[in-house]
Amino acid sequence: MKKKFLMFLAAATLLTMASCKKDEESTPDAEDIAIPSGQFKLELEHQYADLPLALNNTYFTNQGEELQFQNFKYYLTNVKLIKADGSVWSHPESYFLIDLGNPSSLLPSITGIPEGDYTSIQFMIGVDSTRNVSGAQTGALAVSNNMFWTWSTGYIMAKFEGTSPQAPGSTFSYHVGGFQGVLASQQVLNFAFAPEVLMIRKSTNPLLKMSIDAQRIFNNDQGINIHDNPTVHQPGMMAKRVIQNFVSGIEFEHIHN
Amino acid sequence: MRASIAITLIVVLFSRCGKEEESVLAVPTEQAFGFNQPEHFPPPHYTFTNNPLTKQGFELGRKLFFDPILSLDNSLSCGTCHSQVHAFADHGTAFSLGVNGAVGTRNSPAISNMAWYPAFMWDGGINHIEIMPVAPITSPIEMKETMTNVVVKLLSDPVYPGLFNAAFGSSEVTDQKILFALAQYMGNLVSSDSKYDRYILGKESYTAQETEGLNLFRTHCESCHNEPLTSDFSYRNNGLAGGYETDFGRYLITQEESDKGKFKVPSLRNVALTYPYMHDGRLFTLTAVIDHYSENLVTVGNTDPSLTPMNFTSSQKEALDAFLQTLTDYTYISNPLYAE
Repeated sequence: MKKKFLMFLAAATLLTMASCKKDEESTPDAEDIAIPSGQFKLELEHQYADLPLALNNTYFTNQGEELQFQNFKYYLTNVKLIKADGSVWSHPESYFLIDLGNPSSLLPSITGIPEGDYTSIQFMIGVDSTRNVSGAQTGALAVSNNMFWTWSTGYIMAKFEGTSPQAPGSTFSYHVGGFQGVLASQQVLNFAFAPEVLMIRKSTNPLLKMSIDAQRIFNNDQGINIHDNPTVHQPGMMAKRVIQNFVSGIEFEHIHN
Repeated sequence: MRASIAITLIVVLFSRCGKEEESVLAVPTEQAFGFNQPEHFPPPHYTFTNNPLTKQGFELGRKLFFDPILSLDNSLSCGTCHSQVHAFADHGTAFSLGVNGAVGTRNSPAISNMAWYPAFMWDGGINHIEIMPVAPITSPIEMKETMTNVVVKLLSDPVYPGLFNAAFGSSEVTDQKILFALAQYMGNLVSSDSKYDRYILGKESYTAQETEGLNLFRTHCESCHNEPLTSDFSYRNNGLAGGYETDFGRYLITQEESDKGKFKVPSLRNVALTYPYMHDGRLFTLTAVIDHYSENLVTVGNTDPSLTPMNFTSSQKEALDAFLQTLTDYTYISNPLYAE
């Protein structure tokens, strides 16, 4: 046993030394072979019906309720690109916290993509159930981003908060969560680009533009009346309605290759 | 164990290839730190897969556990309400006090063998040991702090950045590292050396009364408090009077009507030290607990169907009490490795 163990260690050490050497010799070209260098940027244009969406601006629902957003955040995760032949490229560690109050978050950069022509995109609004049950995370998923429920573990998939004179306490607060079974609120969305194509090339950085219409949170088929529903803070039917309404307002616009 | 040392060495060797020269110098020579798997326990639920257990990580977690820096006004640590002499329950109080004297709503539970727990808190609302401390740290009636501010305080502390470097290879402080360190400490708090354990392992014998108590336990209690961890980690309504008028328990997590008034079956390890009892600390003695199951059960809609009055005789009650006393693990409550 001891002998085997020592041999294992020796082998491991050799391996390690070999890998050290490789690292030292590695050139940009060698790295390119290892990790695909294609990339694109997802441009997220937020609107409220025909108006640009901005925090603290006044908007009206189609039921005549007035509102101002003070917080407008959601998770965009698990980005996948699909080719015409159906083959799928999955972006590893694909977690973005989109925050209207943080302009740099509105242009997520997707990197490490193999060259090719892609015909559709898939992503999730919310966080997959796996990361909801996998303990302490980092980056966009760190608990200190305050997009996490502490009393009943799980990510807040989307957080829309603000003021409205029609709300009983003059404020509304929608924290959408729930990731399991019937309470699952995360939404997987697919958008085909046809007739456009996302051309991923080593030397380019295309822009894929999506539009998000925040009015749909309140105005979709199953409208939400702020006066009657000023607070949604737990998984369930209302949380799902908020996020389903929200994602119904997400549309593919166009691609600048 | 050897494999883990080898893996650690490989990790160390690999890290030497990196560019961070300072952190390489700080990598301690002995990182591997064993998890104490008792031979009579099942495999643990938490296996430190993404958070390799090291001496430095464990010791950082221990320091954090006992440091009031985690609370808003630096007044309360985890250890304030989880005291080793009480097997990490609070000091005989039904509801613990938070920052500014805020009063809790459920009894502060004992902590041991958390690596075997599939979920945490009385209602099981927390699904992972690494995430668990966020709840008491941020609760307005407990430590009332934010994780962001904890990071800021630890970064500006003269000692902590060096300890994070020793444990995780860089002096950067993140909420994930804080939670990893706490999980290394809490996950390694193993209570497995009570008289009961030594009896199971054939190292010590029971008195006739303790044996009678064990037999009664196995007949009447085992279906929920199953050995050796003494909990099946299910959620049950145990027939407390007025149980769910003030606290819906598991329902708050699942929103299932059938979960109203259900709470996690607690482990009975060190139960003689963890008074008062029940989710709201309403019963102060083991005698009162035994009386509850013997003749004071209240049957409401969700009361567990397996619970019917057990109608113990007074000598049976004494035997059960004697058995429950054997669950006290003096090694655990005096282990300097776990101490502040």
